Amino acid sequence: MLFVLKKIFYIFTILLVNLYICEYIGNKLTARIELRRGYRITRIRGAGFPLIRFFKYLSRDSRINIWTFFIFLLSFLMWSAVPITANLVLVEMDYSLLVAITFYIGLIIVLFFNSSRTSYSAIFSEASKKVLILLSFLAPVLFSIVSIVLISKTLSLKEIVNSQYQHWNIIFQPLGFITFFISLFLQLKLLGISRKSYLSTEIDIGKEGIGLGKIVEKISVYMIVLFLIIILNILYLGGWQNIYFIRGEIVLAVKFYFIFILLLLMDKAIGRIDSYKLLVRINWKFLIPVSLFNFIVTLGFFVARNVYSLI
Amino acid sequence: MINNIYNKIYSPPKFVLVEEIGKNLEFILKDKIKNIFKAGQDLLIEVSKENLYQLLKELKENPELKVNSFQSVATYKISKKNFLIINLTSFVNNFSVLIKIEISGRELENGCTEIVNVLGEFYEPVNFYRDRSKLISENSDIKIFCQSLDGLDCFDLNISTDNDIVKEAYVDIDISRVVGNHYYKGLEIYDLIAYISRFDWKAGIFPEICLCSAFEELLQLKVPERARYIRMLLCELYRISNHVYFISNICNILGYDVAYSLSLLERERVLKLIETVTGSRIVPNFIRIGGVKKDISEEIIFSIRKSLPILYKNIRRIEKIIIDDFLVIERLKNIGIIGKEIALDYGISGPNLRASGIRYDLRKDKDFISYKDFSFTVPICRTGDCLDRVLIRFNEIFQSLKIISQIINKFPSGAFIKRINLSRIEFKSEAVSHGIECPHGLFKIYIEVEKSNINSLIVKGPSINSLILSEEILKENRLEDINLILTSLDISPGEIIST
Repeated sequence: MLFVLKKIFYIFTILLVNLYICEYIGNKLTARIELRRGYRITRIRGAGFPLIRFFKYLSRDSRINIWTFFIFLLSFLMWSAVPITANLVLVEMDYSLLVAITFYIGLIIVLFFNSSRTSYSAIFSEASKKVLILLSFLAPVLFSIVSIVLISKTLSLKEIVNSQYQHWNIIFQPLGFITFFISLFLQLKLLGISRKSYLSTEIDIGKEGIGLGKIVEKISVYMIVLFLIIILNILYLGGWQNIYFIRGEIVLAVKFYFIFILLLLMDKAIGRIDSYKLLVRINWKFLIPVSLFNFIVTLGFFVARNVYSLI
Repeated sequence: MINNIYNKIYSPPKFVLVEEIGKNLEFILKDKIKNIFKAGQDLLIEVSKENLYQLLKELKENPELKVNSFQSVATYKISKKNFLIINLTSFVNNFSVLIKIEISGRELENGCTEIVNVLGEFYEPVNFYRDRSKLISENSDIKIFCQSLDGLDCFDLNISTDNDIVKEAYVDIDISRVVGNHYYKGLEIYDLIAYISRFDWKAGIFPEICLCSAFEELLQLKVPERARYIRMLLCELYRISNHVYFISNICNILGYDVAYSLSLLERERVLKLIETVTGSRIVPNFIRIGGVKKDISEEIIFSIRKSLPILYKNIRRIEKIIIDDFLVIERLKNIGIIGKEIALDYGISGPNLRASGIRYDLRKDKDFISYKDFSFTVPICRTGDCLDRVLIRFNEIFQSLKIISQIINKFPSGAFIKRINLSRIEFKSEAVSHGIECPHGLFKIYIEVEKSNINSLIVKGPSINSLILSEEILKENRLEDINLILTSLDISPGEIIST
């Protein structure tokens, strides 16, 4: 029992520390671009700003409903099956990828229900539309994941990492990596990690749901992004595999922050994509066909190799 | 992109003698007009309520007049008498008309329904001034409150939708009616100059210049050349500042962080230049009757000259960033289209009108300050969508930079103010209307004076017309584009508060 609690504590701490660092980096970038000024620690690029913002949100009136609780629960429960390092995983099982993805879809659906707590119908329709588009972006992600599963012949995340000891999967699945990365970026754009528009319309920016509920929503958005980056690392970039004498944990952290900062920079340099027609066009005319093509090619190789033993 | 807009061909403005139009009208409608005379730039017609219909019919249907743009309606009170003043413009014939009607107190309380009904037969936008509370509550299903619209906190928006497409839109400006018509009473003229610039905080110099020019016209005062040049310099600097701020607002709504920050930096550069000239940034209180508050030194001119190429380079860069991004173009194109006819009907002016393809600029069309000394073009676009409204502002910034460089090179020497003693001045009983080309459009001030008193002072900004028009152009657009379309009209909240 104590062992499990210890593990939970470690996972929780790692997540919170990373959350703090990500929020700090995001703020710093925003401050750099907007040339903000303030007191040294509490100003937007200061190290204490995420904490200050936390208290600021907390000090307002809050309306919490049952969905807020579920969001909080799921955003941490999502990590129960994902191994952060080789040994640090709460529940070890053979189908951890399936469980993780299920939790992730569940979280997005709960976010959809959560958007109904607003009293403005405009915001509800906007937020629900965003969540539904998020769900549609899951199609290319799922195609890419199935292709990886076909290559490594397992549903366990640990074994997928172990199978990449020679070559990373990005070499075999470049198209899958590209579609996964673009859909990850578009999901980040929709959720709005650094912008003030978070799952609400631009009509009512940042004024809806200030309080504890808002913090939980913000944490859930970060969790989704962190989760997807970790999954991307595990599936395509070798996870916690050592590079020569450098330890795997350090390699994973470097890769994680490289992708995170890259995403942040792209977020700043590209305008908000709120035209839903355009989003649907990108998804149905580019991401889904490319990922489907990738999947079919992979399936062909799989059948030729394992069923007919041709290759 | 800029080369596509044909800014090389320019026909000279139509020269119109307002007095001659007045005489013709007097001849046609002999008994029906009480009085007709030239008040400043405009023609003022005093008419009774009964004869309003025939006057309007003549004004609209006479092919020589073609007064087809409705501008505004305002009321005022002079010694227990209530008056209603209607402002109509003909952009084609380059003149505008003020119709003054005496009304009773009871009519004023009822919202002048008879007069509004008569006006409504000829001009569609007048329906905005009717009592529409019942219509709004019956037809709209979503209410967007004023604080929700970014930077436009002066009106509520009621909309009815069908699958995220706006079917009807109603603007409700009841919350803005906080300023009474007697705000100017008990104020000294110098206090009034400091106060008036608050009506347009996006470009604070223009109301000041308009007010001072109106008084100068009343006093028949000729301003020294150096003062006129300083005024023009400030006008153009404020125009650039306003347009760059507009672009930053658009970028903010598009979520384009890089262009947003870059444009705000350029605005900061312009505001610093303004600060060195006037000592203040937003509401300068710098213009005086007969000139300006203080002179400009050689050092300031040198600093402006030094920063002009930097400004040009940086704004070109922002333009390139915005135009090269297909996401921005996708978002802005074919949204909120204003056609030529609808633009004329609703009486919008300034860059919004020019984006629809009508070349009308007071700087060229009327003798405004001394703009005839400089060579510049008035850019126009054709389709009148949001993208055109952004592009036209970029073009205007470049033209303003061109004018500033000419002003600096030609800067004349001499006095910067003609000092007059205002304490013992007595005016004749007179009315004057003065308009200027501010960055949003046509800014007008109407003053009636008697001896040393100001009997009435009506401020009319261009934003109210754009706001009335927004009800039309929001239709058949998506819910998510509402904020973008409203911002692209460049509505200044202060001007709406004053109406």
